[in-house]
Amino acid sequence: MLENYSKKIKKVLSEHEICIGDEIKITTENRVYRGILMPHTKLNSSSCVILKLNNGYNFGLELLNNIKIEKIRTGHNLKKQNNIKKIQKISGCNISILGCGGTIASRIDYRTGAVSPSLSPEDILENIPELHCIANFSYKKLFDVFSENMTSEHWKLISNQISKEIKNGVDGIIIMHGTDTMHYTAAALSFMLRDLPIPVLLVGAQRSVDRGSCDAGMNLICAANFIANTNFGDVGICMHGTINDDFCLINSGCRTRKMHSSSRNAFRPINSLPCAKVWLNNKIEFLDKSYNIRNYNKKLKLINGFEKKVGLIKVSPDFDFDILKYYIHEKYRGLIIEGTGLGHLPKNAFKKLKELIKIGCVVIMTSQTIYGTVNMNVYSTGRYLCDIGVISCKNILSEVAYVKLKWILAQFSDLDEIKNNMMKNYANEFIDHVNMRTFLY
Amino acid sequence: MIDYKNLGLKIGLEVHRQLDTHKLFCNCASVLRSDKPDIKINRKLRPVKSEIMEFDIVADFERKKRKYYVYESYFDTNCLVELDEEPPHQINQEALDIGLKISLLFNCDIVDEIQIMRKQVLDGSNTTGFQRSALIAMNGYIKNRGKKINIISVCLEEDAARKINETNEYVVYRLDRLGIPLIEIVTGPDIRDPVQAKEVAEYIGAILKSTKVKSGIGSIRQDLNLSIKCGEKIEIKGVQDLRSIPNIIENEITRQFKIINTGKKINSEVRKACDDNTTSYIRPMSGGSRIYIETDVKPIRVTKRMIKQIELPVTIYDKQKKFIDKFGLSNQLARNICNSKYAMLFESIVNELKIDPTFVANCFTGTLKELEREKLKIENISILEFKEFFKKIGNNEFPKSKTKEILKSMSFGKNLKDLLKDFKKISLEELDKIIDEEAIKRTDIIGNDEKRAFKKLMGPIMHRVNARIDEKLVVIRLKKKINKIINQS
Repeated sequence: MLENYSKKIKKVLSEHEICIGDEIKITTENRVYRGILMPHTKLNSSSCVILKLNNGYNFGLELLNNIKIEKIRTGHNLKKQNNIKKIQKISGCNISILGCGGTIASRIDYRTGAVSPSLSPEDILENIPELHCIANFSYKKLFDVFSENMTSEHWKLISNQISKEIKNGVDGIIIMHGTDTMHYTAAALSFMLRDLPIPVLLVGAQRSVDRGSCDAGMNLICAANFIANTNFGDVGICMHGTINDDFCLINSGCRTRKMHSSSRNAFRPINSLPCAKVWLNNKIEFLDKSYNIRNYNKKLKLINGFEKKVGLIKVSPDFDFDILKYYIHEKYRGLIIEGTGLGHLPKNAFKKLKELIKIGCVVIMTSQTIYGTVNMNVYSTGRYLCDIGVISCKNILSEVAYVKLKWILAQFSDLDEIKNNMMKNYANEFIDHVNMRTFLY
Repeated sequence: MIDYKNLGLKIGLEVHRQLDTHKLFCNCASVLRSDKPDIKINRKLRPVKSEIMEFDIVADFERKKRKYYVYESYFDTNCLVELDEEPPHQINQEALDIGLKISLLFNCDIVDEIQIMRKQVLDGSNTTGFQRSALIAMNGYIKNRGKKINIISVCLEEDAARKINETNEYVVYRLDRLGIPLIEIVTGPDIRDPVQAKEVAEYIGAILKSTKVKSGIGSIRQDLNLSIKCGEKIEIKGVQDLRSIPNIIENEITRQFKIINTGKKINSEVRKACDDNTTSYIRPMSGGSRIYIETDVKPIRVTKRMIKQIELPVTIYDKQKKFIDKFGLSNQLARNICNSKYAMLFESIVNELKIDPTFVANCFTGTLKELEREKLKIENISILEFKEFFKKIGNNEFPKSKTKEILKSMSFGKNLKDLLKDFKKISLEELDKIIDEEAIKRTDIIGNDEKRAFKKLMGPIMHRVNARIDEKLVVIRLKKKINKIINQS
């Protein structure tokens, strides 16, 4: 645990057999300091030892050559101690919690000084005893990653575990996940889990669990309540609906986007309403019932392959389309382009784009306006792009289109089949009727 | 009279004062609002484990109460940071600089590296569930009654939200105060009697005043830590008025006596100072385990070189000494002018102008105070106007005896040029002219009765002279005139 201290400090500390957590005394030229030796984070200065005083404060003390250092007492073990209480089964609802890292499972990391995912699902539940009044829980930690490091391999791992849990007969699954790419994972699960019999809800936290104001507790309680008390049988995201601790939104796996970098209510439905609002007191209000209903007779079919060679780009004025040379050279199989407005690209894109399509790359158009539907029939640019083979992808979200194209390309090789399947509505990713209430909901 | 020495009375102080800058971890202005808030949001809090994996007793206590919190917020002076919807920004450099200056003024060692900590607070007064606080210096001292009073620590922290209302279900807080930088000075338990506690608090307050701190109600708060023989440490929070300190301590000792006399033990606890100078129970004493590191803000390395570059302000005590030595003010007058808001203006006036410093100081601490008591708006007089006024006094253009009247007129917005007409000193020739004019009006009364004529004329003449020339001169010149008229007739 002394690992992050500089060589020099490590040497001095080991000479006195001092470990992290020990109470030590440091005597400088004219002062005496007593405190507990704390771990060194990479953010701390390399010339300082970090002490925790009796009053709880930490500070850095520069370790000069003329100091005297003594160990007073072998001290606190800073490693975690688990004391999980055995909880009696109280209800008929069994929920499996799968831990996938993220802020919801994060605690202080002494190496980087920042928070990192290392808590287990049990650690989190120990802090939220109310959950045990809702259902019986089983826990499994699948991996610890920040969600920006998620890959399709992680999606596969999750889907495989879900399949196992379903075979074990659980009534619902909660996936604790980092929020940055939670909506990508939700989309991936929506496609992979064909004929899903039970609900799968993704839950995260925008505030880390090492603070009193963490939002994880309420998000988990609402998710568990929703699973225990409704007939929902689909993939959804359960996060704060407002910046109040009042209700959560259950949003559809393919219709949700993280719309704020830090707010609790960052996850918003796009082009549709949320499935439901779930209050902390268990009140539930449905807003959009186009979800799949729970049906234990359904037999889960897993299709969890993803094509690697798929890209997602966003064009902008003065965009240099030479970048497409790379996609051509590397023989990319699919490319999602976030065009402007109704689905447009500047003229200088045309030549390279034709080459790209010629080598067999599937090019999909979505809109960078986020809201609304792509329509490439209104202006000549759009019509031209359709003529050269760009596929107008209606109102699917760019991120969802990216995941879907990876998934479709892993299953099909015939271009027509790819196109047809891309346009097929697998998991409510297309909305036929866009209600005006949905804009900026 | 209680024998405090025999009682084993030990008192320590915690002085909190707001700094006069924007907020500590965001760019919002540090202003308190009384208008209607723009939004209200509802939240709940949960206790968390500290680094050393212990639940804090205070956190547990607050959790059992289980209330929810309503936060009132403003669109223009609050941002997402106060709402706990965004991570804190890096620490306010100006506030840190002020904190370091204060540390040196109290003879402290500044730490080599400052680590921002989170103090878990679950009464809802912080939206995050903790208060950010950093130890910036230790091991200082001040002197009182010839003895050292240790300064254990200087901390820079964020102020909590303001409690507006409380019911059985919820507590309402306003976020205007949340995040205002606070400096906290903690003394050792080195104070031995109630009056000394007041003296030390006053001294600390006066030193703080020489830096950029806020003043006014609510900007200063004192906590008292005290214990007596066979007792436990008691913390009394929220003492606002320094003058009440001795009385609060005496009442607390009386309370403890009563408990000891019934054979019970004193519990170590946190109490609140009430309006009648008694105390009431708030919560158990907290442990260090409610403090853990703030991971969203980087630690700040303070090198010896940075400390050397800090320019120390002149404290009120340095200033008093200077005013006595350099300008010849009396002790009392030096103290009064230093405690007034005019200290800086006074200094620049007596440095720039040829004028008696004692007169200027009396003007600021005496005359202006009288005018303020009469509810006149002294703030209408600008610095430039003050300087011009004292320049004219120094040049003998205005009589000193008319100071109050002139300042009064200035506070109404009259400019000095106009006032010069009314109050300008008059020459002997002008005086004689006035006497002549008045004498001609009343030739009837100037007969043989010299004394009667003088009596009748002196009044109107003095009214016109309006103290713009020495009264003695008026008497001499008038008598001369009367004699002249009588002799002529």
